[in-house]
Amino acid sequence: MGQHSPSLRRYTMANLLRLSGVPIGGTVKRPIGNRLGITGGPEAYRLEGWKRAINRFKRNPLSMAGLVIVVGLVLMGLLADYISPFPMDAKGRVDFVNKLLPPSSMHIFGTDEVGRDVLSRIMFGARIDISSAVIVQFLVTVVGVVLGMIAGYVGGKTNSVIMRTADVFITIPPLVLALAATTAFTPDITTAILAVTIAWWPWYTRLVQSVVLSVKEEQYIEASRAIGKGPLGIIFGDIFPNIVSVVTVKFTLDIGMVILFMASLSFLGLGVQPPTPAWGTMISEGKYYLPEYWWMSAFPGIFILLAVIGFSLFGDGLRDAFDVQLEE
Amino acid sequence: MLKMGYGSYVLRRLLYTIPIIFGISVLIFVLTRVLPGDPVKLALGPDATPEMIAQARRIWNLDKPLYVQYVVFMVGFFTGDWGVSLRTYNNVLVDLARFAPATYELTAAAVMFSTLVGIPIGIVAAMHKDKWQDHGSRILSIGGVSMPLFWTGIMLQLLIASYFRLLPIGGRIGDGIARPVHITGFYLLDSLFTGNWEAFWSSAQHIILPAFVLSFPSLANISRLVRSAMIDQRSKDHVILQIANGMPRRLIVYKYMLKNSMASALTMIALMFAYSLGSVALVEMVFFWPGMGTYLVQGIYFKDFNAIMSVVILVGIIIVMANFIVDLLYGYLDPRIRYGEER
Repeated sequence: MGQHSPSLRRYTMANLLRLSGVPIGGTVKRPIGNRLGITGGPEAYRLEGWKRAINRFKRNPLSMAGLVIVVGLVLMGLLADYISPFPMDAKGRVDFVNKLLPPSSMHIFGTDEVGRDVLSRIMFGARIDISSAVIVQFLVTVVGVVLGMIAGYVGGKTNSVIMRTADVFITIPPLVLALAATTAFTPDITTAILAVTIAWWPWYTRLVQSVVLSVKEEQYIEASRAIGKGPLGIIFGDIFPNIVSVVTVKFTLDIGMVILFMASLSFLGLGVQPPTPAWGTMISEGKYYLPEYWWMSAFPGIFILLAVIGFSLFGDGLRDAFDVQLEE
Repeated sequence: MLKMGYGSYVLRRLLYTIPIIFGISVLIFVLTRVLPGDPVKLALGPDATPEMIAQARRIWNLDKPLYVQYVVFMVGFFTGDWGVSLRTYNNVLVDLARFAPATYELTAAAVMFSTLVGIPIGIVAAMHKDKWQDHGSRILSIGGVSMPLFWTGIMLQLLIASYFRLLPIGGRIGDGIARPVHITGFYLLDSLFTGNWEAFWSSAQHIILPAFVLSFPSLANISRLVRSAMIDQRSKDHVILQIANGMPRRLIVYKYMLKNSMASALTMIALMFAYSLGSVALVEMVFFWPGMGTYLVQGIYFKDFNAIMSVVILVGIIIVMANFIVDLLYGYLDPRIRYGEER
C-alpha cells in the first residue's frame, strides 16, 4: 500500500502488459505469488501487503504502546459519559462544598475551584481535544491534497503560485501565525480550529505536491497515458493511491502535535473557553490557584503529554509498517 | 554557471528573501485586517457608539481602500512609524525596542543551553548506539518535543521555585534591584559590562528556568541531529580506515568524526533561534517575562492590530534572515550547494 511498496505499481504494469499482449506468466506474478502462497489476482497482493504491514507494526513494542495510548484516550473520550465518576461536572454542575479538594480516593485528581472533579473533566477534555484535532487534520488534509495535487500535476505557474504561497505561510512559526489569525475573531473553539488550519495547511500541500512530483515521472504513469487513460483517470487511478498512504500516516502522526497546538492556544485564552473542559483551558484556569492547588493544572498536562507521545509513536509505527517516506 | 562564485550565490539568496518578506507582510495584513470580524469594534469594546467607531476608523486609516492601508503601513514600517499600539498608546517601535531585547536574551540563552547540552548528548548517544545511553537520549528528545512548554514551565515553577525555593518564580530581575544601564538591552551582558554584580546575579537567577524550558524542543532536535550525523560519519571510508589502522577511538571521534558532523549542527543553531521565537510566547506568559511574546499575546487580547502586525513581520524577517544565514553557511561549507539547483 505504501508509496514505495511495489504491489500497486506491479498491478498497473501487469495490466498494461496484459493489454498490450505481452505474456506475463512467469516474471511478474507467479514466482512471488507462489513463494508467499498467494493465489488470486492483484487484490491478493494488496491484502498481503496489509498483512505484512500489520505484522511489522505488531513487532515494534513502541508502536504498540502508541496504539494502546491512542485507543485508551479515544475510548476515554467516547465513553466519558459512562466511565467518568462525575459526568455532570463537565456539564455545568458546581459543588462549592467540595471545592479545591486534594487528590483522594473519591476524587483521584482532586477537585477544582467550584468543586468539579478534575478526572471527569479530563475525560471529557479528551473528547474535545481529540475531536478538534481530528477536525483540524481533516481540514488541512483536504486543503493539502487538493492544492498539492493541482500544484504537482499542473505544474508551471500554478505550481509556483501555490508553493510560494505555502513557503510564506511556513516561514512564520505556526504558533505565531495561529495567534495572529485569531485576531479578527472572538476567541472560541471554531476560531482556534480555523487558526491552526491556517498555520498547518502548507505542510500538507508541500507533502502531497512532492509525492505527486516524484510519482508523475514514474514509468507506469507514462504507461497509463500510453494506453489512453485520461488525466482524471491518471490522477485518481494512479497518483491518488500513492497519496493516500502518505497522508494517512502524516494525518495520524500530527494529531498529537495539533492537540499540543490547540492546547497552547487554549492556555493563552485564545482557544476553547471555560467552562468547556479542554486540557489547555484547564491548565490555564488552574494556574491562578498555584501553588497550593497544583492538581488542577498538573494532571491535564500529563494527558496532553500522553496524547502527543501516543499519537507520535502510533504514527511512527504506521510510517514504518507501510514504509512511507515523509521527508524527501 | 560553473564560474559562479560565492558573491553571486549570496546575492541570489538575498534576492530570494525579498518576495518572502513581501509575502509575509501581505499575509499578516490580510489576516489582521481583511478577514471578517471587526477589530475596531472589538478594540473599542461593546459600548462604542457608531460615531466612535467611524472616527477611530478614520484616524487609523481604516476607511481607506485596502491597498492604500497596506502601502501606508509598509511605508511606516520602513520609516520607523509602526503605528500606535491600541493598548500602550506608544509607537509600536518604541514598545518593541523595550520588549524585544528581553526576548532575544531569553531565546539566545535557551539556544546556547541547548547547544552546549544537546551536542554532547548526541555524541554520547551515537557512540553508544542502541545502548541505554541512546535509548535515554531518545526518550529525552521525544519528551522534549511532546511536552507542552507552558505546562513544563508551570511544573518547574511549582517544584523548583515554589517548593524548593531555589530560583525565582518569574520576571526578569529581582524587585528591589535597579535595572542595569542600557547598553545592549540584555540584562546579563549589560550588568556584566558595568560590573553590576547584584543585577547580574539576579538576572542570571531569573533567566535559568524560562531558558531551560524554552530550550527543550531545540535540545531534542540538535541531539538527534548530531547523533545521526555522527552515525553517518561512522560508516565513512576514512573513519573505517582509521579504525582499521588502530587509531585510538577517542582521537577518531573527536578529531575526525566530530569535526565533520559539526557543520550541520552549527547551521542548525540559527534555525533554532528562529524557531524558539515561535514558542517563546508561551514561556514568557508563564514566567511573566516582559518580552515580545507577552506583548504579542496581550496585543491579541486587545485586538491591537498594529502591534500584532509589527511583531509578526519582525519575527518573519528574523526567520528569513536566519534561513539566509544558514544558506550562506551551507554554501560556504559545501561549495556543491552553490552550483546546485534551487529548491
